[in-house]
Amino acid sequence: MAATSAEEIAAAAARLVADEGMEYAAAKRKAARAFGRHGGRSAELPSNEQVEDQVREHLALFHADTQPAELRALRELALVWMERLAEFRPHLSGAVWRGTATRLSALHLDLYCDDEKAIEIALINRGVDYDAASLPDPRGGQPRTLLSLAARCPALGEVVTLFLTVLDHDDLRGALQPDARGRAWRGDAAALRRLLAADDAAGAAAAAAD
Amino acid sequence: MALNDDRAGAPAAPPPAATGAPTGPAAAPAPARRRLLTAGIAGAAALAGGGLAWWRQGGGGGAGSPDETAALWALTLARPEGGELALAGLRGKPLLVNFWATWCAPCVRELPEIDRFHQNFGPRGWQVLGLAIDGPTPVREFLARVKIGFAVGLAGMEGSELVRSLGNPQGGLPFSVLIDATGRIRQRKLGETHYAELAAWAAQV
Repeated sequence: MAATSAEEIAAAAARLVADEGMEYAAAKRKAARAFGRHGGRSAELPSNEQVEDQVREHLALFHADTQPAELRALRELALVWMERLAEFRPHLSGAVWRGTATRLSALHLDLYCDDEKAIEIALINRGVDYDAASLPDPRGGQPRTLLSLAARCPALGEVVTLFLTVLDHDDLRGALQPDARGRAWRGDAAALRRLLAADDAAGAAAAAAD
Repeated sequence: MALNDDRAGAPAAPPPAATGAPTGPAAAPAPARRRLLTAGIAGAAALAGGGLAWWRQGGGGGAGSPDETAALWALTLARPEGGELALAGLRGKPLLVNFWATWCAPCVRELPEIDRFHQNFGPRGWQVLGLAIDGPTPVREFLARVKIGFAVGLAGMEGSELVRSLGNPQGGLPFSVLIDATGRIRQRKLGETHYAELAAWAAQV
């Protein structure tokens, strides 16, 4: 019973992620509540991989005409910001990295830096407006700093929220560990350029086949 | 350092007056010791003031040497509209260089002011150059939306080094540098500027 329920929750969460731009954790909780699972234990919720599979399926069914171009625009915007923040070893994570982003998705960059204030100082020096929040560390360590700012995406005509998670330099170890299927959860600018180039090559091949 | 550090305009700071040396009412030491203490604090303050003045001159005094701008003239940068821009060609006439980026809100705010300076002072022999510390694509997209009349060069992210070499160690933006016909830096401003300020600078050269 638990297996089918998790699958159902994953499908409902996927709809929230793809159509409303929700984050996975929030979408899973909301989907679980919709199925009457109040205060459900996290063990009963679908895994991120399960949700992601459902998101891909949902995108292929309902957004196949628009999503690839939106993803590309967001990835290009991410690369621009990674170049701007290059000194802080930015890594792209979230839907834009994984390829499930739509125009509603936010950009998530993980920055690895010994001195977290250096990032804020760099932003202030360049006159960038940002908000700062503190997040509890999932592993119980020091709270993390989360900076958010509004990034114009001219290609989409939208203002995209850019989240910068400030991590300790040491956290870079293990950050590139792959998931259960061998895909990394985040990648640096070089990895993103490879993704974009592979995308170009696939597009050219498809155009040639037409 | 303060963001609005108009170092070039400020004369060497006088050492802070020692009259306000704190002598806590709770401590109330013997008069002789107290005088000694005051003298000590005054001495330290004078030293600190002197150090500050020295540092300010080192960082970039009003009368810069032409060597300061050597790195600038050596550059050849891509233009956003295509082609190249050799900065050596701008030498010998007064020049306003404005460092900006599309993602820097105050930079974007002040661009119309710089443009106005270019319109009004261009005919009087002033050259204006905007150097974008940004990727080529965002700059092109931005200039398609916002029209500016003066020349723009793509300094890229490496442009931060140039900003530092021109007397802005933090590499903050926006940053404006006024260079006279002999290649000396006459004014520097870190932070948002406006037309009246630029016009006043130009009048002094």
